[in-house]
Amino acid sequence: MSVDAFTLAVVHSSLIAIARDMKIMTMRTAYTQLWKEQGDLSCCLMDGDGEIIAQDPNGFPIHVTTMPLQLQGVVEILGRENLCPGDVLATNDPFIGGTHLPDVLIARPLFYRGEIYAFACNRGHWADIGGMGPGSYSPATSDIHQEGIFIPPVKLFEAGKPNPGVLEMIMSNIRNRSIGFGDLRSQYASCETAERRLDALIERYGFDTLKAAMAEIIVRSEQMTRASIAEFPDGDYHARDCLDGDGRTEDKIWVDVKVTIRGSDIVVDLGDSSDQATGGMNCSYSAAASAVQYAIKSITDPENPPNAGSYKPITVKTRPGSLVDAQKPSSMVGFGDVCYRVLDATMTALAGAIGDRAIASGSGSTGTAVVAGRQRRSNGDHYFTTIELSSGAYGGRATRDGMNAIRYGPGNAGHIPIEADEIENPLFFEAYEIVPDTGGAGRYRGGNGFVRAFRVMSDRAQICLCADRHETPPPGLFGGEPGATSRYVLNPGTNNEQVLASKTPYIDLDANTLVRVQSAGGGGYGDPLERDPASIADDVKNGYISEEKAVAAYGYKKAARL
Amino acid sequence: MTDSSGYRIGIDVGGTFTDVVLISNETGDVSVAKVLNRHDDRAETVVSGIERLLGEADVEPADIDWISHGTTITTNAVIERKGARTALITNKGFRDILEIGRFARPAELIYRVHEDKPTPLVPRYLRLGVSCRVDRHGDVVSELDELELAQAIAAIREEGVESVAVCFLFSFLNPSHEERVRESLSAALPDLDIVLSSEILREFREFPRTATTVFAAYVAPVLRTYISDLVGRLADSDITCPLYIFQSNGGVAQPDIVMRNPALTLLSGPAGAVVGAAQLCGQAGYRDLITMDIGGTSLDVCLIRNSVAEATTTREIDMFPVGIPMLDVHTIGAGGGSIVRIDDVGRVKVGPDSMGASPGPACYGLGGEQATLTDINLLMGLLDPTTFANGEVPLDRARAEAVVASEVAGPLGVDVNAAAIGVYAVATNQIAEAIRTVTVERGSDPRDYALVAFGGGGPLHAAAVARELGVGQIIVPRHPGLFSARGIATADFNHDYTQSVVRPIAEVSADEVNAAFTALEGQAANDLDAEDVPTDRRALAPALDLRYLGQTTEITVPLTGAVAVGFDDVVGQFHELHERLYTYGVPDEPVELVNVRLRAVGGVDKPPLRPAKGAGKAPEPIGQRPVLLPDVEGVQPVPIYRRDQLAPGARLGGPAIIEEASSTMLVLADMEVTIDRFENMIITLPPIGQSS
Repeated sequence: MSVDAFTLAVVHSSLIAIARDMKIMTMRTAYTQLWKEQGDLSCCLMDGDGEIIAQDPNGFPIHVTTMPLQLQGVVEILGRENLCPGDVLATNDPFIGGTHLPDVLIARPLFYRGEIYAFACNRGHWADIGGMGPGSYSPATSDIHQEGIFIPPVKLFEAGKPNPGVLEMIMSNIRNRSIGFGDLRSQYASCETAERRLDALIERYGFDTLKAAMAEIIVRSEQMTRASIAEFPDGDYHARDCLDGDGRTEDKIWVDVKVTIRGSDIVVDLGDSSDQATGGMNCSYSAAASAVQYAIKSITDPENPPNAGSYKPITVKTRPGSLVDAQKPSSMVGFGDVCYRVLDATMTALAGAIGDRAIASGSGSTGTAVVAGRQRRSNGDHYFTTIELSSGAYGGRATRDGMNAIRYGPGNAGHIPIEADEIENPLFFEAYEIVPDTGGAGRYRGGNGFVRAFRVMSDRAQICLCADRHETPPPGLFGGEPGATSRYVLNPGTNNEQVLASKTPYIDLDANTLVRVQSAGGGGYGDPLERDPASIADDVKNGYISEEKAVAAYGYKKAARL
Repeated sequence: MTDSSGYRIGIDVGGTFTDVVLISNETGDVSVAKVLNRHDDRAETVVSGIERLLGEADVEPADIDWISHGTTITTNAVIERKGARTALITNKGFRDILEIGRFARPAELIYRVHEDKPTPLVPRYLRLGVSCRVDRHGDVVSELDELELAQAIAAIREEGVESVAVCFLFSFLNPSHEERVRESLSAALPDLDIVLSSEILREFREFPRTATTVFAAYVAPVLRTYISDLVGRLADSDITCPLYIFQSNGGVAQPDIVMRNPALTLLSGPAGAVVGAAQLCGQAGYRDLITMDIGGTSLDVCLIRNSVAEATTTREIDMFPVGIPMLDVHTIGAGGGSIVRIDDVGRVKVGPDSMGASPGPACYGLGGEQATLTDINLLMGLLDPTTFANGEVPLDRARAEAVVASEVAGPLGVDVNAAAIGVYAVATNQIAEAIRTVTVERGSDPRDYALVAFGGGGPLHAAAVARELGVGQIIVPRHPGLFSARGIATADFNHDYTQSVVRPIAEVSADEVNAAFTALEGQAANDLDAEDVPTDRRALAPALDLRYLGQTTEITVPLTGAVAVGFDDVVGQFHELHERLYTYGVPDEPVELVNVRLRAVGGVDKPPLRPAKGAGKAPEPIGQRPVLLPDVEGVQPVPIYRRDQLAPGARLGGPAIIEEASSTMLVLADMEVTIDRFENMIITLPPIGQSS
């Protein structure tokens, strides 16, 4: 059956609305700061084969494009024939195609006359999944079992009935079960709502039309992307970039990207990347492919909603056993930072082909700093966990400076409002602002990074860092200068000052320790000497760059000031 | 208050025209003037409209006893970045909260890596940090640094700043530092507008509070200048009655009260029509409504429950939050001027880009070369090319046909009729999705509501939308073009007061909550006193914002009884509401009290709504024309009626087209139209399951 263009438009926008409302509902009812304030979860509708049809416009690319392989793995392991209406499936297995253990995928198979025609999916970053320390974020984990509880594909609900043994097994292995339960509830409730909305859609347009539209959505996006790729010159392009260390050693580990463009196909070969890390700085094939897919989507078809078709022209090759295709039992804690490097190197390699569409590297890290421990309250001791995301700035672009202090790349978690953080956690903030001169100079400069500085008031707290761009700065593009590196310090400017490595496993903090986390800045774009003098003067006036830097990097003369 | 022999005036400033209505307090008779806006002199536009009306209706200036004024001047100042030169004072080390925002990208930017967030209203060099700090208990941890404050004041003086926003962390618990800043600033610079976050939004979360305070400061001088200018011009015309300002919460307030928080006027544009709909439909006996207002560029929908429009605190302008209570009007870019196009791979797109009024749709013949929804409606035969917009805009069918053929039908390989019907269906679905967002996603079933359609395009699409949603009734009120100005003229006083608590409700005593309410009631009494609202017309609606301990989004639960006896009732209601909104409640989970809220309404006498005298004459069509109906194959002859020939009691069946000056109603085959005694057009759909 074919579907006419108008019905296609109608069904497509309804499917996106359903996915969007799933995320809104989960955020409104969630307990963890990571979701309710920072929005670290994503929702999507997939077809019966586990291909993306519609994703929530606010969804994170890295969450969504890692779902298909993981969901397909779940179906294979549990057996399609064993799934039934009312089931709620779950897993966090990165080896079949996920991210890291804290990201838990919840999926509800949707049936029509006995056939699974879709899955409603919700992937959220749980604030704790057990493992070596609260927040489950130690970069020094040498195998997946240290990371937390490994949830193989399971049924949380079977035919609408909860599976108490499985639920209890999971909740007993995480540190704050009441948060865990609240979050899980909000995840599966959103899938239930999606099912009702889809039932109504079938009633309105008919099942065959819905199915035909779902197939057509993929076909059209693929055509769109192919047309865009076909405009790029055929050729072979190469770039490599590195991470500061693998979580246990300080040796640089490399992501190597070879891009081949032929007609409307792009092959991205990561095969010459370093071997898998002994620590947590690894990612799955699926996560590496997701970072590549994000880079290419943003330069080929940024205007249209993404789905499986957007990625069909892209082939990603890896070498099993490398850091971008890590094998059991490697830890994947730091997958996010590895993916940033895949994104940066892919964009840099593509720059030779795409010219003005390329952007210089951004701050290049998730900047994850987990502060966790116990705090005394009137009704006893409580665990607290707060995940500070201390990274964010765009690289320079062909027509604009990089944005300051904002997330870029395939993730999109936000910050906890300071007042919310202080109300819930024993923290006291001393600074949260943009750091001048951290963006790389260029015709269009890199965005400046920012600092968050806070005292930890608990006497039983720990900090753990899983971040990067501490030693190797984000490179500039087409003659732009690199951005400043990131910096993590305890008690700066005192006798107790301690500079931390970007990968720091859980260490104890004395009460009242001042923690200062500062992100890298974005790389610059183009020759700094070509920068518009008015923009330089404007930056100096606003304190985005200092006068000294203006003179040194741009040949700025004070007399020229407006 | 109003005198029964006098008149009141309502003013609604739109994008192109200002509507002024004059209403007799005694008879309820309404007359109206539409004046083209003079962008260089808004006050002059308003005053000339009033003078024209008074002349036409033969009413003396002295007989005007009330003016309510809705204005878009503040919203426009923000969108066009034409507000005051504004500075922001924050805690030292936190000056960039306004720029960093939530740190995450807005959804629109995730893949559009070459686009920027909108620029903050205060440039970085005017964001000034001053050392001081209050903690989460409201205790002062470090005192305000007077030297740094003096430096900030010097910078403000030197840069010629007109308005200052002050926002310190936890000032909603302890405003002393903000107050100290105001004291020093106003001593040094007496002409400065100074806005404190603790007086704008007494709620936690620094980014929405900062952004809202900055909005208020940015528009304060603009609004003040405008009001004083207008009051002066009115006095020149011997009109000296009180002037009230319409706010986005759907009520009016005295200018002095609005000037305390000028952000109350932001986004108030669509609220007037919602209030008008609630009032007029309420008087006709309809209390649960979905409003659907389609203009040239956008669709506004709002849910009205038991005659009260739903409110929200989460609206935004330019991606910056406005955190004060407003009517929950949901807007999408779908209007008559919305552009219809086919992308490179054959996908149909309707909006959000619009051709606006100029050059407008292709059929206007003013140079528009893109297909729009209005072109589609014309091709379907829904619009009469000679009478559109009262005949002021003759429509060119040939142009519409040419552009739809080349932009839509051609690329898809279908004929023009199929293209028109298809695009109409896509638009219907977009409108229905917007309505689902304000109903289904908020725990309401659209089938429990009547759809109120207005704006030029509302009645064109209402029948198809109602059918898709399963809505049983559509109301098209008489003179929908006047809705907004009329709603503004007769709106009640409305003030919202809040105090953040943010503690588990088990740890909060009833005494403490009662004390908070007493304080808020004191503020309300002051404001309503200033507005001369008689005690027997005052209504206070206390409510608590609650959530499960650990959640972040609150549900506002109205307090029906006294809290002296404890919180069991209100917490019970919270569990029920949570279940309605989110499919589950968890009665054994602890609940947190986030805010104590008080809404104070000062009732305003409503002019009577007189039933129209009508003959029950059987309506006669003025003719018929070929129409492409969305649910019938091929072109059908459809009878055309004039709305002004339909008297109360008249009945007719679909399909039919009913034309009036400002809009056109399409009635589908199985629907029935009656005119009620207030001249509202009521369209009844067949019960679900019996639809053809």
